[in-house]
Amino acid sequence: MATTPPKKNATPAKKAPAKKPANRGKSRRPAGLFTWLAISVVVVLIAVIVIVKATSSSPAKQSTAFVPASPTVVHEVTNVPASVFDAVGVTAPAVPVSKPSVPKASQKVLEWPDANGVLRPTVYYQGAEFCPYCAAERWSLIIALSRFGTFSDLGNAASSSTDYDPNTQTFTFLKAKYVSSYVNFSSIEQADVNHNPLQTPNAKQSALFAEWDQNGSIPFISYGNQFFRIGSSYTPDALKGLSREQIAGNLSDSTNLLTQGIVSSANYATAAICQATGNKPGNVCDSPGVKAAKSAMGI
Amino acid sequence: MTELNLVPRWAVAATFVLSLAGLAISAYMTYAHFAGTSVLACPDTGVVNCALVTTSAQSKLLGIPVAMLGLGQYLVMTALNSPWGWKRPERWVAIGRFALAGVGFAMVLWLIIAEFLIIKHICLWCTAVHVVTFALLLVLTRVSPDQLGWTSSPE
Repeated sequence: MATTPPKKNATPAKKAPAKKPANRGKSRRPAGLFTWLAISVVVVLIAVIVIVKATSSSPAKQSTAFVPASPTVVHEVTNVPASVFDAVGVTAPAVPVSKPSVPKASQKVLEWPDANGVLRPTVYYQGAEFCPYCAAERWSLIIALSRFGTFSDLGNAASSSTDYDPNTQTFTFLKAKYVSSYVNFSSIEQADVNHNPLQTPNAKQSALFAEWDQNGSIPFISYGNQFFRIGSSYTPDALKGLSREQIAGNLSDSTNLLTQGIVSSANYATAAICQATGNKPGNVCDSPGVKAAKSAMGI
Repeated sequence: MTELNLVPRWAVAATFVLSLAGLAISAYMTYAHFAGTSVLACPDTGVVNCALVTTSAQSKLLGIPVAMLGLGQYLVMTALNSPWGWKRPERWVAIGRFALAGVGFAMVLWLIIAEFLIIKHICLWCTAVHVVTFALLLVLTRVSPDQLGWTSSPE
Protein backbone atom coordinates (compact mmCIF):
# COMPACT_ATOMS: atom_id res chain seq x y z
CA MET A 1 0.00 0.00 0.00
CA ALA A 2 1.37 3.37 -0.93
CA THR A 3 1.95 5.75 1.91
CA THR A 4 2.67 9.43 2.21
CA PRO A 5 6.10 10.43 3.44
CA PRO A 6 6.20 9.95 7.17
CA LYS A 7 7.55 13.39 8.02
CA LYS A 8 4.97 15.28 6.02
CA ASN A 9 1.84 13.22 6.33
CA ALA A 10 2.01 11.62 9.69
CA THR A 11 0.58 12.90 12.89
CA PRO A 12 3.23 13.72 15.49
CA ALA A 13 5.45 10.73 15.94
CA LYS A 14 5.24 11.05 19.70
CA LYS A 15 1.59 10.06 19.46
CA ALA A 16 2.24 6.90 17.52
CA PRO A 17 1.74 3.78 19.55
CA ALA A 18 4.84 2.31 18.00
CA LYS A 19 6.76 4.80 20.09
CA LYS A 20 4.95 3.70 23.22
CA PRO A 21 5.13 -0.07 23.32
CA ALA A 22 4.43 -0.05 27.02
CA ASN A 23 0.80 0.76 26.32
CA ARG A 24 0.34 -1.88 23.69
CA GLY A 25 -2.22 -4.49 24.52
CA LYS A 26 -3.50 -2.73 27.61
CA SER A 27 -6.17 -0.06 27.06
CA ARG A 28 -5.85 0.33 23.32
CA ARG A 29 -8.58 -0.84 20.99
CA PRO A 30 -8.12 -3.24 18.12
CA ALA A 31 -7.82 -1.74 14.65
CA GLY A 32 -11.18 -1.74 12.92
CA LEU A 33 -13.17 -1.35 16.12
CA PHE A 34 -14.43 2.08 15.13
CA THR A 35 -15.31 0.92 11.64
CA TRP A 36 -17.37 -1.96 12.94
CA LEU A 37 -18.91 0.31 15.54
CA ALA A 38 -20.11 2.73 12.84
CA ILE A 39 -21.44 -0.11 10.69
CA SER A 40 -23.17 -1.63 13.70
CA VAL A 41 -24.88 1.65 14.52
CA VAL A 42 -26.24 1.88 10.97
CA VAL A 43 -27.41 -1.73 11.04
CA VAL A 44 -29.15 -1.14 14.38
CA LEU A 45 -30.74 2.04 13.02
CA ILE A 46 -32.06 0.21 9.97
CA ALA A 47 -33.42 -2.55 12.19
CA VAL A 48 -35.13 -0.02 14.46
CA ILE A 49 -36.71 1.79 11.51
CA VAL A 50 -37.95 -1.49 10.02
CA ILE A 51 -39.36 -2.62 13.37
CA VAL A 52 -41.06 0.71 14.05
CA LYS A 53 -42.49 0.80 10.53
CA ALA A 54 -43.71 -2.77 10.82
CA THR A 55 -45.29 -2.41 14.23
CA SER A 56 -46.70 1.10 14.09
CA SER A 57 -50.22 1.55 12.90
CA SER A 58 -50.47 3.16 9.51
CA PRO A 59 -51.60 6.80 9.55
CA ALA A 60 -55.25 7.50 9.10
CA LYS A 61 -56.04 7.36 5.42
CA GLN A 62 -57.81 10.30 3.85
CA SER A 63 -61.14 9.52 2.32
CA THR A 64 -61.00 8.64 -1.34
CA ALA A 65 -64.75 8.54 -1.84
CA PHE A 66 -65.78 10.64 -4.82
CA VAL A 67 -67.72 13.73 -3.78
CA PRO A 68 -69.16 15.87 -6.58
CA ALA A 69 -68.09 19.49 -6.39
CA SER A 70 -70.67 21.98 -5.22
CA PRO A 71 -72.65 23.39 -8.17
CA THR A 72 -72.23 26.88 -6.75
CA VAL A 73 -68.47 26.54 -6.55
CA VAL A 74 -68.27 24.99 -10.02
CA HIS A 75 -70.35 27.84 -11.41
CA GLU A 76 -68.01 30.42 -9.87
CA VAL A 77 -64.91 28.68 -11.19
CA THR A 78 -66.21 28.05 -14.67
CA ASN A 79 -67.84 31.45 -15.14
CA VAL A 80 -65.18 33.94 -14.19
CA PRO A 81 -66.30 37.30 -15.66
CA ALA A 82 -64.48 38.42 -18.80
CA SER A 83 -63.86 41.74 -17.07
CA VAL A 84 -61.74 39.95 -14.45
CA PHE A 85 -59.59 38.24 -17.10
CA ASP A 86 -59.05 41.56 -18.84
CA ALA A 87 -58.45 43.59 -15.69
CA VAL A 88 -55.87 41.12 -14.37
CA GLY A 89 -54.04 40.22 -17.57
CA VAL A 90 -50.85 38.71 -16.20
CA THR A 91 -50.35 41.13 -13.34
CA ALA A 92 -50.26 39.39 -9.98
CA PRO A 93 -47.93 41.25 -7.65
CA ALA A 94 -48.56 39.05 -4.61
CA VAL A 95 -48.53 35.65 -6.32
CA PRO A 96 -45.67 35.15 -8.78
CA VAL A 97 -46.90 33.23 -11.81
CA SER A 98 -44.66 31.53 -14.36
CA LYS A 99 -45.33 31.27 -18.08
CA PRO A 100 -45.81 27.92 -19.81
CA SER A 101 -42.75 26.73 -21.66
CA VAL A 102 -42.47 26.57 -25.40
CA PRO A 103 -40.79 23.64 -27.18
CA LYS A 104 -37.47 24.43 -28.85
CA ALA A 105 -38.71 23.31 -32.25
CA SER A 106 -42.19 23.95 -33.59
CA GLN A 107 -44.51 21.02 -33.03
CA LYS A 108 -47.50 19.69 -34.90
CA VAL A 109 -50.69 20.41 -32.95
CA LEU A 110 -51.57 17.44 -30.76
CA GLU A 111 -54.98 16.10 -31.78
CA TRP A 112 -56.66 13.23 -29.99
CA PRO A 113 -60.26 12.10 -30.48
CA ASP A 114 -62.95 12.90 -27.94
CA ALA A 115 -65.45 10.33 -26.67
CA ASN A 116 -67.26 10.51 -30.01
CA GLY A 117 -64.12 10.08 -32.05
CA VAL A 118 -63.89 13.72 -33.15
CA LEU A 119 -60.33 14.95 -33.51
CA ARG A 120 -59.54 18.36 -32.07
CA PRO A 121 -56.50 20.11 -30.62
CA THR A 122 -56.01 18.47 -27.26
CA VAL A 123 -54.97 19.60 -23.82
CA TYR A 124 -53.49 16.74 -21.82
CA TYR A 125 -53.14 16.89 -18.04
CA GLN A 126 -51.36 14.32 -15.88
CA GLY A 127 -51.27 14.70 -12.13
CA ALA A 128 -52.30 13.11 -8.90
CA GLU A 129 -54.74 13.88 -6.14
CA PHE A 130 -52.08 13.86 -3.39
CA CYS A 131 -49.97 16.47 -5.16
CA PRO A 132 -50.29 20.04 -3.82
CA TYR A 133 -48.86 21.54 -7.01
CA CYS A 134 -51.48 19.73 -9.07
CA ALA A 135 -54.06 21.09 -6.64
CA ALA A 136 -52.98 24.65 -7.39
CA GLU A 137 -52.74 24.17 -11.14
CA ARG A 138 -56.20 22.62 -11.52
CA TRP A 139 -57.83 25.92 -10.53
CA SER A 140 -56.34 27.87 -13.41
CA LEU A 141 -56.64 24.98 -15.87
CA ILE A 142 -60.36 24.57 -15.19
CA ILE A 143 -60.88 28.31 -15.47
CA ALA A 144 -59.00 28.46 -18.78
CA LEU A 145 -60.67 25.42 -20.35
CA SER A 146 -64.07 26.73 -19.30
CA ARG A 147 -63.58 29.58 -21.78
CA PHE A 148 -63.57 27.02 -24.59
CA GLY A 149 -66.16 24.51 -23.35
CA THR A 150 -68.04 23.05 -20.41
CA PHE A 151 -66.96 20.84 -17.54
CA SER A 152 -69.20 18.42 -15.70
CA ASP A 153 -68.63 15.89 -12.94
CA LEU A 154 -65.77 17.69 -11.30
CA GLY A 155 -65.14 16.27 -7.85
CA ASN A 156 -63.95 17.76 -4.61
CA ALA A 157 -60.35 17.04 -3.71
CA ALA A 158 -57.62 18.15 -1.33
CA SER A 159 -53.94 17.39 -1.52
CA SER A 160 -52.30 15.00 0.92
CA SER A 161 -52.38 15.94 4.58
CA THR A 162 -48.78 14.74 4.91
CA ASP A 163 -47.30 16.59 1.96
CA TYR A 164 -46.07 20.11 1.35
CA ASP A 165 -48.95 22.58 1.79
CA PRO A 166 -51.20 19.89 3.24
CA ASN A 167 -54.88 19.73 2.37
CA THR A 168 -54.72 22.29 -0.42
CA GLN A 169 -58.30 22.56 -1.61
CA THR A 170 -58.97 21.76 -5.23
CA PHE A 171 -60.92 19.51 -7.61
CA THR A 172 -60.27 16.14 -9.17
CA PHE A 173 -60.52 15.29 -12.85
CA LEU A 174 -61.14 11.64 -11.96
CA LYS A 175 -64.69 11.54 -13.38
CA ALA A 176 -64.72 14.89 -15.12
CA LYS A 177 -66.22 15.27 -18.56
CA TYR A 178 -65.44 18.13 -20.87
CA VAL A 179 -67.27 19.19 -24.01
CA SER A 180 -66.00 21.83 -26.42
CA SER A 181 -66.21 22.67 -30.09
CA TYR A 182 -62.63 23.90 -30.11
CA VAL A 183 -60.49 21.68 -27.94
CA ASN A 184 -60.50 18.20 -26.38
CA PHE A 185 -59.34 17.57 -22.87
CA SER A 186 -57.66 14.38 -21.71
CA SER A 187 -56.64 13.84 -18.11
CA ILE A 188 -55.04 11.30 -15.83
CA GLU A 189 -55.09 11.38 -12.05
CA GLN A 190 -52.47 8.72 -11.56
CA ALA A 191 -52.81 8.37 -7.78
CA ASP A 192 -55.32 9.19 -5.11
CA VAL A 193 -54.71 11.33 -2.05
CA ASN A 194 -53.14 8.35 -0.26
CA HIS A 195 -50.73 7.65 -3.13
CA ASN A 196 -52.66 4.59 -4.27
CA PRO A 197 -52.76 4.07 -8.04
CA LEU A 198 -55.86 5.55 -9.58
CA GLN A 199 -55.80 5.95 -13.35
CA THR A 200 -53.27 4.48 -15.73
CA PRO A 201 -52.21 6.46 -18.79
CA ASN A 202 -52.79 4.75 -22.12
CA ALA A 203 -49.98 4.22 -24.58
CA LYS A 204 -50.36 7.64 -26.24
CA GLN A 205 -50.55 9.45 -22.92
CA SER A 206 -47.54 7.57 -21.56
CA ALA A 207 -45.52 8.32 -24.68
CA LEU A 208 -46.36 12.03 -24.52
CA PHE A 209 -45.48 12.21 -20.84
CA ALA A 210 -42.23 10.32 -21.35
CA GLU A 211 -41.24 12.51 -24.28
CA TRP A 212 -41.79 15.88 -22.64
CA ASP A 213 -41.47 15.23 -18.92
CA GLN A 214 -38.38 13.10 -18.59
CA ASN A 215 -38.06 13.78 -14.85
CA GLY A 216 -41.54 12.40 -14.27
CA SER A 217 -42.72 15.55 -12.50
CA ILE A 218 -46.38 16.39 -12.04
CA PRO A 219 -48.50 18.25 -12.84
CA PHE A 220 -47.71 17.88 -16.53
CA ILE A 221 -49.81 19.72 -19.09
CA SER A 222 -49.48 19.74 -22.85
CA TYR A 223 -51.41 22.55 -24.49
CA GLY A 224 -51.75 20.80 -27.83
CA ASN A 225 -47.96 20.40 -27.80
CA GLN A 226 -47.65 24.11 -28.55
CA PHE A 227 -46.81 24.93 -24.96
CA PHE A 228 -46.10 22.79 -21.93
CA ARG A 229 -46.36 23.15 -18.20
CA ILE A 230 -44.34 20.97 -15.82
CA GLY A 231 -45.08 21.84 -12.24
CA SER A 232 -47.53 24.45 -11.11
CA SER A 233 -47.51 28.01 -12.36
CA TYR A 234 -47.82 29.43 -8.84
CA THR A 235 -47.15 28.11 -5.39
CA PRO A 236 -49.87 26.28 -3.51
CA ASP A 237 -48.79 28.39 -0.53
CA ALA A 238 -51.15 30.98 -1.99
CA LEU A 239 -54.14 28.70 -1.31
CA LYS A 240 -53.10 27.80 2.22
CA GLY A 241 -55.91 27.70 4.74
CA LEU A 242 -58.59 28.63 2.21
CA SER A 243 -61.68 26.58 1.44
CA ARG A 244 -62.86 25.92 -2.10
CA GLU A 245 -65.80 28.22 -1.39
CA GLN A 246 -63.51 31.07 -0.32
CA ILE A 247 -61.21 30.69 -3.31
CA ALA A 248 -64.06 30.40 -5.80
CA GLY A 249 -66.05 33.18 -4.18
CA ASN A 250 -63.25 35.67 -4.79
CA LEU A 251 -62.79 34.83 -8.47
CA SER A 252 -65.11 37.63 -9.52
CA ASP A 253 -62.98 40.20 -7.67
CA SER A 254 -60.08 41.35 -9.82
CA THR A 255 -58.55 43.19 -6.88
CA ASN A 256 -58.21 40.04 -4.80
CA LEU A 257 -54.52 39.12 -4.66
CA LEU A 258 -55.06 35.37 -4.93
CA THR A 259 -57.55 35.83 -7.77
CA GLN A 260 -54.93 37.85 -9.61
CA GLY A 261 -52.51 34.90 -9.37
CA ILE A 262 -55.01 32.27 -10.43
CA VAL A 263 -56.43 34.38 -13.26
CA SER A 264 -52.96 35.34 -14.52
CA SER A 265 -52.16 31.65 -14.72
CA ALA A 266 -55.50 31.04 -16.47
CA ASN A 267 -54.73 33.76 -19.01
CA TYR A 268 -51.38 32.12 -19.77
CA ALA A 269 -53.12 28.76 -20.17
CA THR A 270 -55.79 30.33 -22.38
CA ALA A 271 -53.15 31.90 -24.61
CA ALA A 272 -51.41 28.54 -24.90
CA ILE A 273 -54.67 26.81 -25.83
CA CYS A 274 -55.43 29.54 -28.38
CA GLN A 275 -52.12 28.74 -30.02
CA ALA A 276 -53.38 25.17 -30.51
CA THR A 277 -56.90 26.11 -31.67
CA GLY A 278 -55.72 28.63 -34.24
CA ASN A 279 -56.97 31.52 -32.08
CA LYS A 280 -60.53 30.26 -31.89
CA PRO A 281 -62.86 31.46 -30.51
CA GLY A 282 -61.95 35.03 -31.33
CA ASN A 283 -63.81 36.59 -28.44
CA VAL A 284 -61.56 34.66 -26.06
CA CYS A 285 -58.29 34.57 -27.95
CA ASP A 286 -58.38 38.26 -28.90
CA SER A 287 -59.49 39.49 -25.50
CA PRO A 288 -57.23 42.01 -23.72
CA GLY A 289 -56.33 39.60 -20.91
CA VAL A 290 -55.27 36.86 -23.30
CA LYS A 291 -53.42 39.35 -25.49
CA ALA A 292 -51.45 40.43 -22.45
CA ALA A 293 -50.52 36.80 -21.84
CA LYS A 294 -49.61 36.28 -25.48
CA SER A 295 -47.40 39.32 -25.40
CA ALA A 296 -45.60 38.05 -22.29
CA MET A 297 -45.20 34.63 -23.93
CA GLY A 298 -43.79 36.10 -27.12
CA ILE A 299 -46.73 35.02 -29.27
CA MET B 1 -0.27 0.05 6.92
CA THR B 2 2.88 -1.10 8.51
CA GLU B 3 3.49 1.94 10.66
CA LEU B 4 0.65 3.43 12.56
CA ASN B 5 1.75 7.01 12.18
CA LEU B 6 1.41 6.88 8.41
CA VAL B 7 -1.73 7.82 6.55
CA PRO B 8 -2.17 5.91 3.30
CA ARG B 9 -2.60 7.93 0.17
CA TRP B 10 -5.86 6.24 -0.67
CA ALA B 11 -7.31 7.62 2.55
CA VAL B 12 -6.08 11.13 1.81
CA ALA B 13 -7.56 10.97 -1.68
CA ALA B 14 -10.81 9.34 -0.57
CA THR B 15 -11.50 11.76 2.27
CA PHE B 16 -10.72 14.77 0.07
CA VAL B 17 -12.96 13.58 -2.75
CA LEU B 18 -15.78 12.68 -0.35
CA SER B 19 -15.47 16.05 1.38
CA LEU B 20 -15.65 17.86 -1.95
CA ALA B 21 -18.73 15.83 -2.89
CA GLY B 22 -20.37 16.64 0.44
CA LEU B 23 -19.46 20.29 0.03
CA ALA B 24 -20.97 20.45 -3.46
CA ILE B 25 -24.22 18.77 -2.48
CA SER B 26 -24.69 20.76 0.72
CA ALA B 27 -23.90 23.98 -1.18
CA TYR B 28 -26.62 23.12 -3.69
CA MET B 29 -29.07 22.30 -0.93
CA THR B 30 -28.31 25.56 0.85
CA TYR B 31 -28.86 27.44 -2.39
CA ALA B 32 -32.12 25.58 -2.98
CA HIS B 33 -33.22 26.33 0.57
CA PHE B 34 -32.81 30.08 0.14
CA ALA B 35 -33.92 30.18 -3.48
CA GLY B 36 -37.18 28.48 -2.53
CA THR B 37 -38.63 25.55 -4.36
CA SER B 38 -37.40 26.27 -7.85
CA VAL B 39 -39.64 23.69 -9.54
CA LEU B 40 -43.17 23.63 -8.17
CA ALA B 41 -43.72 19.99 -8.94
CA CYS B 42 -44.28 16.64 -7.29
CA PRO B 43 -42.27 13.59 -8.25
CA ASP B 44 -44.60 10.94 -9.61
CA THR B 45 -43.17 8.54 -7.04
CA GLY B 46 -44.75 9.30 -3.70
CA VAL B 47 -42.04 8.57 -1.15
CA VAL B 48 -39.42 10.86 -2.65
CA ASN B 49 -40.26 14.47 -1.91
CA CYS B 50 -37.41 16.89 -1.42
CA ALA B 51 -39.63 19.94 -1.01
CA LEU B 52 -41.49 18.32 1.84
CA VAL B 53 -38.31 17.20 3.59
CA THR B 54 -36.43 20.45 3.16
CA THR B 55 -39.35 22.54 4.36
CA SER B 56 -40.24 20.32 7.31
CA ALA B 57 -39.87 21.32 10.95
CA GLN B 58 -36.93 18.92 11.12
CA SER B 59 -35.08 20.81 8.40
CA LYS B 60 -33.85 23.31 10.98
CA LEU B 61 -31.81 22.90 14.13
CA LEU B 62 -32.02 25.74 16.62
CA GLY B 63 -33.41 27.85 13.83
CA ILE B 64 -30.52 27.17 11.50
CA PRO B 65 -31.28 25.27 8.29
CA VAL B 66 -29.71 21.83 8.39
CA ALA B 67 -28.46 22.40 4.84
CA MET B 68 -26.42 25.35 6.12
CA LEU B 69 -25.04 23.31 8.99
CA GLY B 70 -24.03 20.66 6.47
CA LEU B 71 -22.37 23.30 4.31
CA GLY B 72 -20.42 24.61 7.29
CA GLN B 73 -19.36 21.13 8.29
CA TYR B 74 -18.16 20.24 4.82
CA LEU B 75 -16.29 23.51 4.45
CA VAL B 76 -14.27 22.57 7.53
CA MET B 77 -14.00 18.92 6.53
CA THR B 78 -12.75 19.83 3.07
CA ALA B 79 -10.01 21.90 4.63
CA LEU B 80 -9.10 19.21 7.15
CA ASN B 81 -9.18 16.44 4.54
CA SER B 82 -7.28 18.29 1.86
CA PRO B 83 -3.75 17.05 1.17
CA TRP B 84 -2.56 20.15 3.02
CA GLY B 85 -4.84 19.43 5.94
CA TRP B 86 -3.50 15.91 6.24
CA LYS B 87 0.04 17.28 6.39
CA ARG B 88 -0.70 19.30 9.50
CA PRO B 89 1.19 17.71 12.40
CA GLU B 90 -0.98 19.11 15.19
CA ARG B 91 -2.90 16.51 17.15
CA TRP B 92 -5.97 18.71 17.43
CA VAL B 93 -6.33 18.63 13.65
CA ALA B 94 -6.56 14.84 13.69
CA ILE B 95 -8.93 14.86 16.66
CA GLY B 96 -11.07 17.59 15.09
CA ARG B 97 -11.29 15.69 11.81
CA PHE B 98 -12.43 12.50 13.47
CA ALA B 99 -14.75 14.25 15.92
CA LEU B 100 -16.41 16.29 13.18
CA ALA B 101 -16.97 13.15 11.14
CA GLY B 102 -18.59 11.60 14.21
CA VAL B 103 -20.81 14.62 14.80
CA GLY B 104 -21.82 14.60 11.13
CA PHE B 105 -22.64 10.91 11.38
CA ALA B 106 -24.77 11.49 14.48
CA MET B 107 -26.64 14.23 12.64
CA VAL B 108 -27.21 11.92 9.70
CA LEU B 109 -28.64 9.27 12.00
CA TRP B 110 -31.11 11.81 13.38
CA LEU B 111 -32.08 13.02 9.92
CA ILE B 112 -32.65 9.46 8.68
CA ILE B 113 -34.93 8.82 11.66
CA ALA B 114 -36.73 12.10 10.95
CA GLU B 115 -37.20 11.27 7.26
CA PHE B 116 -38.44 7.72 7.74
CA LEU B 117 -40.38 7.99 10.96
CA ILE B 118 -41.54 11.59 11.24
CA ILE B 119 -41.70 13.20 7.80
CA LYS B 120 -42.30 9.83 6.12
CA HIS B 121 -40.70 11.03 2.90
CA ILE B 122 -37.12 11.11 1.75
CA CYS B 123 -35.06 13.53 -0.26
CA LEU B 124 -32.55 12.04 -2.65
CA TRP B 125 -30.16 14.98 -2.26
CA CYS B 126 -30.25 14.48 1.51
CA THR B 127 -29.65 10.77 1.02
CA ALA B 128 -26.63 11.54 -1.12
CA VAL B 129 -25.17 13.64 1.69
CA HIS B 130 -25.94 10.86 4.17
CA VAL B 131 -24.10 8.31 2.06
CA VAL B 132 -21.10 10.63 1.64
CA THR B 133 -21.00 11.34 5.37
CA PHE B 134 -21.13 7.65 6.25
CA ALA B 135 -18.47 6.78 3.69
CA LEU B 136 -16.26 9.55 5.04
CA LEU B 137 -16.65 8.24 8.56
CA LEU B 138 -15.82 4.71 7.45
CA VAL B 139 -12.62 5.86 5.78
CA LEU B 140 -11.63 7.88 8.82
CA THR B 141 -12.30 4.97 11.16
CA ARG B 142 -9.64 3.10 9.20
CA VAL B 143 -6.97 5.74 9.66
CA SER B 144 -7.79 8.25 12.41
CA PRO B 145 -7.65 5.86 15.42
CA ASP B 146 -4.28 4.60 14.22
CA GLN B 147 -3.09 8.12 13.60
CA LEU B 148 -4.15 9.14 17.09
CA GLY B 149 -2.59 6.12 18.69
CA TRP B 150 -5.89 4.72 19.86
CA THR B 151 -5.37 1.23 18.52
CA SER B 152 -2.91 -1.51 19.19
CA SER B 153 -0.19 -1.79 16.58
CA PRO B 154 0.13 -4.92 14.49
CA GLU B 155 2.41 -7.57 15.87
